Formats: sequence, structure tokens, C-alpha cells
Amino acid sequence: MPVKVNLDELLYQRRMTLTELAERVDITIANLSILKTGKAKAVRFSTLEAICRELECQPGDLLQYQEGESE
Amino acid sequence: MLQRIVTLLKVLNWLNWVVAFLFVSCSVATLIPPFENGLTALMQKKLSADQTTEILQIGRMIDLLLIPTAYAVHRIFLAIIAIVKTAIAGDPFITDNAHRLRIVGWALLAIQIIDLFSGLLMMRLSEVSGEYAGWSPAVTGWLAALLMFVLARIFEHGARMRDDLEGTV
Repeated sequence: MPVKVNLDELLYQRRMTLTELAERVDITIANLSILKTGKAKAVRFSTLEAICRELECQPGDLLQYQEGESE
Repeated sequence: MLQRIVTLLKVLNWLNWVVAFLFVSCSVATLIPPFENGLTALMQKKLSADQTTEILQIGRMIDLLLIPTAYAVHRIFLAIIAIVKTAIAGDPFITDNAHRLRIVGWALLAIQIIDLFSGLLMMRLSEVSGEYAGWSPAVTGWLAALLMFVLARIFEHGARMRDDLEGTV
């Protein structure tokens, strides 16, 4: 995927586990793992909003476009 | 509940073949000399020899139409059973079911076309016998076939939309 999800880095910086974030944003760990591993096909604005709220970041911090990495 | 529907559909499918077999058997029986002679003698009390022969032939042809009709009905039951089974498995909104609905549509269309042939035979029967044999075009059948094709398209579209949603977080 040319769009990289920086959830791992953000979680590490905030010293937060995936389980904790899942509880806070009310999304299953399974779905957050899909997002974290870059396997998600789409992200809902509501999910993005909740993650940005809990991690105190901007959507741009979470998603990053990387040229030339298309599958 | 859904499992009971599957059982009911299987029984109906079985009955479909039993009825078709009975009608075709009766038709074949009219070709066996003792039965044929008895029937001919009975009919010739009211009708001429030519009328009797033609009426018997038309009757046999109408009975023969039951074979493709029973097969079409069989395909409809198989498709509906498969659709209900996907609902039991918890995932009925799949493209396979759209394909199955389309099969039901084609089968209904085939039944309607067979019905037109049987209508022609009935008209001939009315002419020969001088008595109204009773047939009218079944408009609802054509509408049902159309509805199945429309539903198949909608199902296909819905399944595609659901596939899009899969992987959405």
C-alpha cells in the first residue's frame, strides 16, 4: 500500500497499547490490527476522528503517502 | 425455522417430480392398447373418431410439456434451497445468490414460454372438442420472472457494495 499507517509509532510515542486504544475508541482489536498492519481497504472518518482524539494527533500523523510502493 | 423451510422445499421438490411422473405415466398409459381402446370407446360416445384421436394426441403433448416444466420447477427449488442454506450459514448476501436468483428468473421465464405452448394446445383442444379447455395467459408469471432478474441485479450490486465495506475500519 502506498499509504502507510503510522499507528505503531504513535502508540509507542503515547505509551499506549493497542488494547487500550481499542477500548477508548470502541473499535475491536481485530479491526485496529487490520488498520495497524496496513491491511485495511478503507478508513471511516469516525474511526479517524476517534483515533486522532485519543492519540492527540492529526490524520496526517497517522497516514503517510509513500510514492512507488503500490502493490 | 430456516431449516424447516429447507425441509419443506425439499418435500415440495419431491412432490413436483411425483406429480410430473404421475401425469406422464397416465399419458404413456393411453398408448397401451387396452387403456387406449377403453378411453377411445368412452370418448367416442360423444365425439367422432377423428376428434378422439386428435384430442388424445393434444392431451399427450400437454402431458409431455410437464417434463420441462418439472425440470424448471426443480431448478427453482434447488436455487431457493441453496439461498436459504446460505442464510442458515449466516451470509446470504453473496454474488452466488444473485446468480441463483437469475436461475430462478430464467426458470420462471421457461415456465411462461411452456405455458404459451400449452395455451396453443388448449386452444386447439377447444376447437376440436367444441368445449372451452380453459387457458388464459398468466401475467403474474411474467412479472415474477422480471422481478427475479431485477432482484438478482440488486443482490449483485448489494454483494459488491458489501465486499467494498469489508476491510473498512
